[in-house]
Amino acid sequence: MSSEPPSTAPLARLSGVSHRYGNVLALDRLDLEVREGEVLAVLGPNGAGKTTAVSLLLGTLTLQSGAARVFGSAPDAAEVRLRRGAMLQVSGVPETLTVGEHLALFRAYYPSPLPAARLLEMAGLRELRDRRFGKLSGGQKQRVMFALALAGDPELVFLDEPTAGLDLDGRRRLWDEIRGLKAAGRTAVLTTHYLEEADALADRIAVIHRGRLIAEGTPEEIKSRTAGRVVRCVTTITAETARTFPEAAGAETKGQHLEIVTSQPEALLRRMFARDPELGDLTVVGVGLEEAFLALTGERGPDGNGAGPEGGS
Amino acid sequence: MDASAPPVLRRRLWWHVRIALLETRFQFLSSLRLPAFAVPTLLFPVFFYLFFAVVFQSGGASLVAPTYMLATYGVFGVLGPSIFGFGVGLAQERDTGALLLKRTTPMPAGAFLFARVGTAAIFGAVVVGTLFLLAGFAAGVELHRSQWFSLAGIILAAVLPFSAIGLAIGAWAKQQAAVAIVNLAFIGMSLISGLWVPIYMLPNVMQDIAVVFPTFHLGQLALKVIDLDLGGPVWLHLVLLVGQTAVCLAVAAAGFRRFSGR
Amino acid sequence: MTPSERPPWRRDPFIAAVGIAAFVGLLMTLPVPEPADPPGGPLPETTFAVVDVAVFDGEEFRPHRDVWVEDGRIRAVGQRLRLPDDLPRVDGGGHTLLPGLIDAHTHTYGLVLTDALRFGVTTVFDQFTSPSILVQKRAAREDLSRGNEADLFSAGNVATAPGGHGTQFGVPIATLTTAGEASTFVRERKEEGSDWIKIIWEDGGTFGADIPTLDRETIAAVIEAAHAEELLAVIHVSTLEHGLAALEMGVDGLVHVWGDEVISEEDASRFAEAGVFVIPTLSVRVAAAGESLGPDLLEATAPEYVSPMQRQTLTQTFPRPVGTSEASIESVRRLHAAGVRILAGTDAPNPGTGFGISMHGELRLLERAGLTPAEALAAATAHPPAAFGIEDRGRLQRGRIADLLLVAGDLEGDLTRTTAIAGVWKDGFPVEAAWATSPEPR
Repeated sequence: MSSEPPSTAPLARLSGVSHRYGNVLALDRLDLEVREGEVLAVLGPNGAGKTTAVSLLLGTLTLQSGAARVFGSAPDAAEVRLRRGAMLQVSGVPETLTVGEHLALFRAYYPSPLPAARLLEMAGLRELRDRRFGKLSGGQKQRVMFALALAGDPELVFLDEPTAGLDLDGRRRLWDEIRGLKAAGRTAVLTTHYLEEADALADRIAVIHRGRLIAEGTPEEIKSRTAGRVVRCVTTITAETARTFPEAAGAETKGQHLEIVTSQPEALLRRMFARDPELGDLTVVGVGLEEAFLALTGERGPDGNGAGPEGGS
Repeated sequence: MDASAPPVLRRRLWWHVRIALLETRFQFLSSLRLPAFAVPTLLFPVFFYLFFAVVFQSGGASLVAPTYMLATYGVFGVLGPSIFGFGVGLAQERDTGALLLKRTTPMPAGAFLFARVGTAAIFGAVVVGTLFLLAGFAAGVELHRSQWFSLAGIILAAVLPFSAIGLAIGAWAKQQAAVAIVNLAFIGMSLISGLWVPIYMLPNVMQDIAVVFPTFHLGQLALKVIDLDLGGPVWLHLVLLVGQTAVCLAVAAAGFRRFSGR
Repeated sequence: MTPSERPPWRRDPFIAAVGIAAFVGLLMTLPVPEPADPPGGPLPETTFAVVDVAVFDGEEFRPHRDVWVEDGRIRAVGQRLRLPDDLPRVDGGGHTLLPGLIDAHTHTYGLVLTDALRFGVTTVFDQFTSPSILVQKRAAREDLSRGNEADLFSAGNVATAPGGHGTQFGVPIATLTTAGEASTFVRERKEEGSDWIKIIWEDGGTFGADIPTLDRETIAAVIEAAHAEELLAVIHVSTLEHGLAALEMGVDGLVHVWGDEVISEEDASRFAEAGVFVIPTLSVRVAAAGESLGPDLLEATAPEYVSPMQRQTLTQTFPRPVGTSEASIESVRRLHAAGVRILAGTDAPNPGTGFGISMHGELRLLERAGLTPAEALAAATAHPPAAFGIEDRGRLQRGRIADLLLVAGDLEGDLTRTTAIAGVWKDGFPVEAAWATSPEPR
């Protein structure tokens, strides 16, 4: 990138950004960086402020406090728009135009757009070129929006909850396309509350909760910084009791088993064997992103499944 | 991604022109394929004129009625596409997020406005052309060449003030509300301003109210070309039109500010 | 790029240009009105239209009208008439078209009817002339063939006393002295062709003479006899007192306004209630007071349009001033304000007046007396025939004779524009404007 200082400078950055809607604080002194060539997943539950953060980077929201820069410019600068693509969470395009017409229009905005045929290919829309947008299924519409985001061959793509509302098959297909982006060397920002999605696609995850960045790093870093292991066993110790253990970050009952999240499995196990020598069917495994997220946010759903792919939007 | 130079920002006029034209083309196609929009805007004025000015007036001794209605239905004919296109269309694009998406692209805002105004003008031109053909070759209306051109020019220029009304509505109302408001404005303004029934046949109170609406002034300016207006001075109509349009644009601008600050 | 990859915007400017060209082309093919000639060249005759002209229809001004004349009569007046393509047209833009003027007080002899017509006066109501002229001119009223004279309606032989006013012109006329002769006198006038009965009540007092006149009893009897013969009775008076007395006797109209005093508003209302019309003849009143409009009118008119006789009578003066024009004009103002029907009449060719041309001065004098341009023109067009029971002229209306006056300019804004004559039609035939080329009377 000749116009950018080499390597380290972020392509986009939010610094100390706060944003209010009336009395609701949506972002609270948020810092966020997007680095060249990475897929950054912005992860958080509904209402965490993910879309607000993306909107500020897209310039569709007016900045209230803090700084937002994309390619070193204001997010809505004309030059920035030429180098950036976006797929918004709530977005439709006129229903009476065909897929091909929408692509033709968006491609015309950019100086060197991707060929229409390639866009159709990338988004799996080859057979649908002459179909009107209004006649497409939800998944097909999302793929059109994806293709529109890529029309200008952007260096940086924002994908705000791209798989929301899609069925499993639709989601998998879009994942493949996003992986294709990464393979092509583009930088992408992906917001999601699907932990599985972030884990599967992202180089780096930024976890946002209540408008604040609470964790940032590779999926592995996130995991290692939270409770490292899950101890699973059959025991007389109840989940209530287990949560009082200093070593336990969280505990819940799953069927016959008790599951405890911990960063000190050895100390925890010593304590548990002391209480219940009959403890059996023991496994100690690395924690999944689900559990990591659970621990980070401190939120526990009734079934221990506060946020997950099946949780829906 | 290859490491080619970043896209050069092309601010040339041509870039703006071609995007504006392309936006217009697709906006027009999109509207044309929407029967709820295309059918009433194209057919209502034409059918009204056909019945009231051609069929009912055939064999009449005077061409006043067909000539009068040519001006008023012409203005009516551009009112529809202008305020529906902007009022309902814009509200819809706001609701669906299409507008938001466009704002993330390099599309110039001017091209977007141009496309909507241009689409209204194309629909208006089709209506005016059809009305003129009916008037000239079916109703027997004869006008001096300069009058044909002035009348067409004034009627098509009406797209601008009418679009401003639509813009003001579309900038504030949600889609469902916009449909209701635009319909009310469409019917109410047409009726009160004498676009359906000659204004001098309406109660005086309604004439006094009509002064508030751009439709009245456009109607009077169009009628002035054919010497059938109420006799108000041109400059006064123009001053009021400009003022009314400015108010609409200010209301629209406030709506958009609210929209982007949300 | 493959053909399918060609940018779609390449075609847009072309499509836009074709669309605009098609629209302009459409506008170029739309029908335009048949060409209309501006006035100034030869005017069409008998069947034609004056298009896009401001009209005064006898009551009010109406802009942008078409007037369609067919076979010497008005076929239609309206906006944007559906006219046959082959109809000859006069472009009336910037002009005003009105019914031919009607002078409700003249005295006819010689070429005066030609002089009147050249100035747009297409009908005269004569208030004393030789019965032989009356008979000679009567046929022309109904006849719509080409002519060069105004139509004549007349009282013929006036009712006056032997040696009274009217007998001094050297023409032998019938007179009467007693009430008993009234009904025979009136019947003879009717048989002779008089269209109404005019009575002279003039003792010469206002101009310092003492001349014989009819007594009140005889005047009342003549009025009664005229009504019995279904004729109107109009009267010449010189004083307010005589005017009020005639009103009591049931007269239908006064052919002069008095100049001795100003009528009270109450008395003016009595005229209005009785429905008596007044022909003030302000032209002769101002001339008698030494304030003739003759010089002004001559100045406003190109010399070739004025005949030697018109010039002669316009420049004549009365031997010595009589009365004041202010009193007469003020009386007219009050009569008009009270609702009395005022008719325009000049009393041409008395000194200081000219046939035809003085009607244009009379209109200005009526305006001076408080009539609006429309009211003054109504006094010279629609009102005289209505007052005298004549229905075929005086208005621009379907079926009426096409006696028309076309003037350049907007009369509503400037009544003096009546002298800017752009065309006169009599029975649908255009009238030659310059006197020298007028053919002999038929």
